[in-house]
Amino acid sequence: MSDLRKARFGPKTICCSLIGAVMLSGAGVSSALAAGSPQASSSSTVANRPAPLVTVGMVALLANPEHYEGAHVRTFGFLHIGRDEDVGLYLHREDYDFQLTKNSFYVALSPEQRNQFRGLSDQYVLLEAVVRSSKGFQADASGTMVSITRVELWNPLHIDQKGR
Amino acid sequence: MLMATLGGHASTKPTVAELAAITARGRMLAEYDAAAWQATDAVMATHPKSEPSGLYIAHQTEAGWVVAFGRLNGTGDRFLVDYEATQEGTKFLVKSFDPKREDMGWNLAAAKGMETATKDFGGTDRPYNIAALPRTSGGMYVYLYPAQVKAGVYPLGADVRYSLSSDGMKIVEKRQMHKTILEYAPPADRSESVAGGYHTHVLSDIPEDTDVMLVLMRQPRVPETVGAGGYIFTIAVDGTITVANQPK
Repeated sequence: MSDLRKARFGPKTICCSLIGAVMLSGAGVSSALAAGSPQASSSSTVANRPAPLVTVGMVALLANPEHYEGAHVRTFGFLHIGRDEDVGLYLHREDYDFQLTKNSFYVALSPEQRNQFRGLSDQYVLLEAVVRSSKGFQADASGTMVSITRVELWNPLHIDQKGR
Repeated sequence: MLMATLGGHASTKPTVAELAAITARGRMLAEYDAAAWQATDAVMATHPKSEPSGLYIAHQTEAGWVVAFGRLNGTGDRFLVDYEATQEGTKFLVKSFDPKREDMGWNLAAAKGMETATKDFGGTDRPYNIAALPRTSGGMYVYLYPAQVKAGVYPLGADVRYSLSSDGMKIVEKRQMHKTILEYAPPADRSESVAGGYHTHVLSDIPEDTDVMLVLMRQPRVPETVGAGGYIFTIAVDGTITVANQPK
């Protein structure tokens, strides 16, 4: 019974915390992006500094990927690692289950990262990467995550994700 | 009849994202191939002192395709360009370089990738085409596939896709896409029309990038049905792939 409750409401809990992340970080993203953009840099020292990490929800990224072009973001979503370019970060598990690919970003993992993170496939994760609005060979996605620096299981309520 | 040839065990149903990626790679490969032969024609139309030899490397820009003709230098740290053809609308404009232009970057990496792949592939008893496509995740795909040698006859098969490191020196994965070569030719009786083609896969459980390329390049344009992994895939004339369960 307890498991059923978690299975039904677990994703909603995560969803709500995601939306919270979007709303909380939303206001800060534009200013952080502007500060990190080459146009806003007044010296070469600042221009060479890596873009600051901003926490953004998938909803905001999916809604306007061009706005986040080149931004170094931390976001949360459902990761699937399949064959070749079938590697996506989806808004929700259901978006993967029903292949709503527009609700996803292609995650450009290197071969080494693919092996390293394979165990996190089909689970919700925290992911840090640079956003590109181009799509490469994953034309159905809404954009691409490149230069991936961190992927971790995101499961604060310890829900059995794979057993569902 | 078609069902009888399929057999094999059912595998996990490919995702929409996976099929979309096959379509995207196949489309890019078809564009690459078309750019390469149109650029070659454009170079030959300038009546060069000598025919372009060595490698041709195409890459897509926002303005269109650019194809460089040349070879690696002796130390393998430069790609020496003899000719470059740049797409402008439906034409390719040709520039020649004397002395040769020394390229690094993509042209050098792709040339080294092609060299690594062809060395591994070995000799063949028929002409082959080669294509290099950059991957968003770093590295590149290099394809080796049989060249069309007769007008109207389209070969498919005995083709390989290599995944290589970004410098083109290391093979990350070798994927034999098809084993034997099939030749698609229009019916001898011109009153007959072709509704589509079909073939089955024994090496893999999904359609391959070159299956999409075949559909996009073959004339007349007709869909291709592929039996693989217990499923029936249909590649439409625009390269999109749909999947259906094999009827019981």
